[in-house]
Amino acid sequence: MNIDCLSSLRGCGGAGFPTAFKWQAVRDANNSDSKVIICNADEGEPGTFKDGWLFDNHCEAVINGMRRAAEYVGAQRGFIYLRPEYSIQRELIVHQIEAMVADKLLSPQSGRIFQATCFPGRPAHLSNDGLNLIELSSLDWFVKHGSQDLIGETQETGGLLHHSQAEHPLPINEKVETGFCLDICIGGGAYICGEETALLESMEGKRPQPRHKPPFPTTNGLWGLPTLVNNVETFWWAERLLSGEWTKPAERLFSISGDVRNPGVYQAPLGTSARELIDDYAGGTTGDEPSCWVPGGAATGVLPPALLDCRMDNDSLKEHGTALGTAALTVYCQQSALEVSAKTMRFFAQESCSQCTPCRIGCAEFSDYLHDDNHHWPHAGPIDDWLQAMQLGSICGLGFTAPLIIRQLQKHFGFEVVGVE
Amino acid sequence: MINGKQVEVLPGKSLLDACASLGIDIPIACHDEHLEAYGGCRTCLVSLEGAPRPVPACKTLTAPNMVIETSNQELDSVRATVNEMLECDSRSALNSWSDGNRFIGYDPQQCIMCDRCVRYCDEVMQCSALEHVGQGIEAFIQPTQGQSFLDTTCELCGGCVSTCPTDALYSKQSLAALKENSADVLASTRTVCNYCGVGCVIDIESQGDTIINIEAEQGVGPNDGHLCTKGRFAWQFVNHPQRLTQPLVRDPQSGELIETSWDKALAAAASKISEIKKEHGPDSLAFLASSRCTNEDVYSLQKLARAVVGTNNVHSCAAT
Repeated sequence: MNIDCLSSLRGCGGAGFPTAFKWQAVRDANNSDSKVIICNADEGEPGTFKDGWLFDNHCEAVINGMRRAAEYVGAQRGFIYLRPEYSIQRELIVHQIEAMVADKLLSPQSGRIFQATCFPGRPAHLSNDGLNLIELSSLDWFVKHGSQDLIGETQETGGLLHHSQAEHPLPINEKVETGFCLDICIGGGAYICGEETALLESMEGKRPQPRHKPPFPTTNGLWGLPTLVNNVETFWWAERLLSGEWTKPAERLFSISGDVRNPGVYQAPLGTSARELIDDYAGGTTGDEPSCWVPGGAATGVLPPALLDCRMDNDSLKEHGTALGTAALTVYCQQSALEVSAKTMRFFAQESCSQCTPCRIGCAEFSDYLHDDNHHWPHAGPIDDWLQAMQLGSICGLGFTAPLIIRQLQKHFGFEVVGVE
Repeated sequence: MINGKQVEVLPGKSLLDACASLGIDIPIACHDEHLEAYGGCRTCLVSLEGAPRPVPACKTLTAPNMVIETSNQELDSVRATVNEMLECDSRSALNSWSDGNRFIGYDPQQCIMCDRCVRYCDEVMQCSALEHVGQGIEAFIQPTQGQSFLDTTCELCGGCVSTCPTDALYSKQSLAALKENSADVLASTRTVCNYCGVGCVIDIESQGDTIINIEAEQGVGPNDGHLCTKGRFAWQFVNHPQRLTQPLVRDPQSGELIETSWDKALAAAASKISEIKKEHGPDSLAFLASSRCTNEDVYSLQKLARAVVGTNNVHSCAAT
């Protein structure tokens, strides 16, 4: 299979990593026996709803994209890690898998539904009564085997499975009879579960805390196996490009929401300006001029209305200190940039996994700071030092990007003049 | 290359160990030699050429041609800020718990979520009796599933208290025993635990003639810093009013136990043993050694049984 046509495709889950590189890395990973494909459908970035829309409308194409990826990298097993709220999409996927099994496009073992773990103490979002769920975590199982046992085995055997993993409910060492075996894993339900390594941890039945990289999942992913983790939209574009249905460079699905007349998912070329997206696609704003807008999901921070003509692609947005992220354009006419930022920061503070100090403390302190009417900064260290510590000292993208919320307020809304005593 | 100096270290060691072997001190809060590297506290960040941002020294392994800096303006600033963050880190007092156990207590306001206790319980004890609950600033540590320690698989070894870098997990007995404004000086005495024959090296911390705490140092003795619940916590008997400090011999007339000297007690035992042997033969006697005895003690006992008394009826409760 030739994947040259994927050269225009960058991951659509937020980080924008070139897709072809990732596929090549997993293909080149030297454990040829067992590789895993994971479709990251834990769509949790505030303002983003394109992945749900894709399953609603193009479920078959997404799964075909996974099948192509599996063929390219040499994987026999795949999982769709699905946001737990997407119960309608789950049913669509189950039906699609059943149909494809009947057509012998997927292995007959496909279609099981697993439940990934979340943080102990986090209330469950919804009840999954009536579903034949296979729990990936049970305390008894952990007490019986001990996590150390698992870690040790994985390292010693270079990713080959041992007795303790063999007893784990995830059928990772089960022999796939024919074709590609595709199962569904219901996500843990936390924002951080969408971070690819936290996702893997939650599938292994642990606390969904991001792993330290390197090693990357392309070589050491699920249970140490080479693992390809791509976003739903990435697989969809890969399928369209590889099947020849789409011959131009890949575009993006923009999730447009907020104070616009026709919120929804719109496909547009990269580089379309935000104003065009709002006016030509989403029917214009419901108010007058927006007070602020977010270009690519909450983590990309707020931008002022003066920048609405900015081209929506990574290079152009980078000039303004932000990124395209998940291409979730949110428009605010009623709320101020400060209000939006404060809410976003509180969201990050609540969703921090609490593993590393800068993110755990930093997000909480900045949330308090933005919510405080006087914007009183109670710490001896200057705000800039705290932002830098979060940006450089955190483990994963949540901590790296959270300072952006404050930096954008400072850069585009003159926040430092108002904010610091 | 570390801090501009060409150095040679073994490959595959953590940067933390490599730097320590070169005399470069890197501060770290979440590391314990007994545990897998965690990389959570972020005080051990060092800069690595080619990496997009600083890397944790504990979690990064040495490899050929690495260029490392352990201190520069940026790192020092990040480290100072992380320390400031750790100082202001305090969990809500609402998250404190107290259960029926007599030994281990938790003060959430001291806790910095380094996870050392949880990892010790998982990795060293394989008990998983502690868990890290919740997220963000709301996260805290509790006995698994919010149970009492006594209902979990906890062995009350106190390893979590010992590895805690703050006083978040503390020994309830030590807190009760410590007198705040006492003129008595605190002292530490190294000795060997006599609860069993293993010979764990312990440090008894005392205030005047009261024991405050028992600790063990890593890298010392067969226990290498670990202790069991008896060794760490069972020291209340030392100053107990009912503790026997003299041998007792039963008065043949009144039947009461009367304090006596060791010589008289041993003589009484010897004469009684000889009497029974004479009357009923040597096999009417049996010798049972306590598990607190060392190998040498047990050897002497069987010598006494076989050579002096003449019976093979000898056993140690540690043999079963």
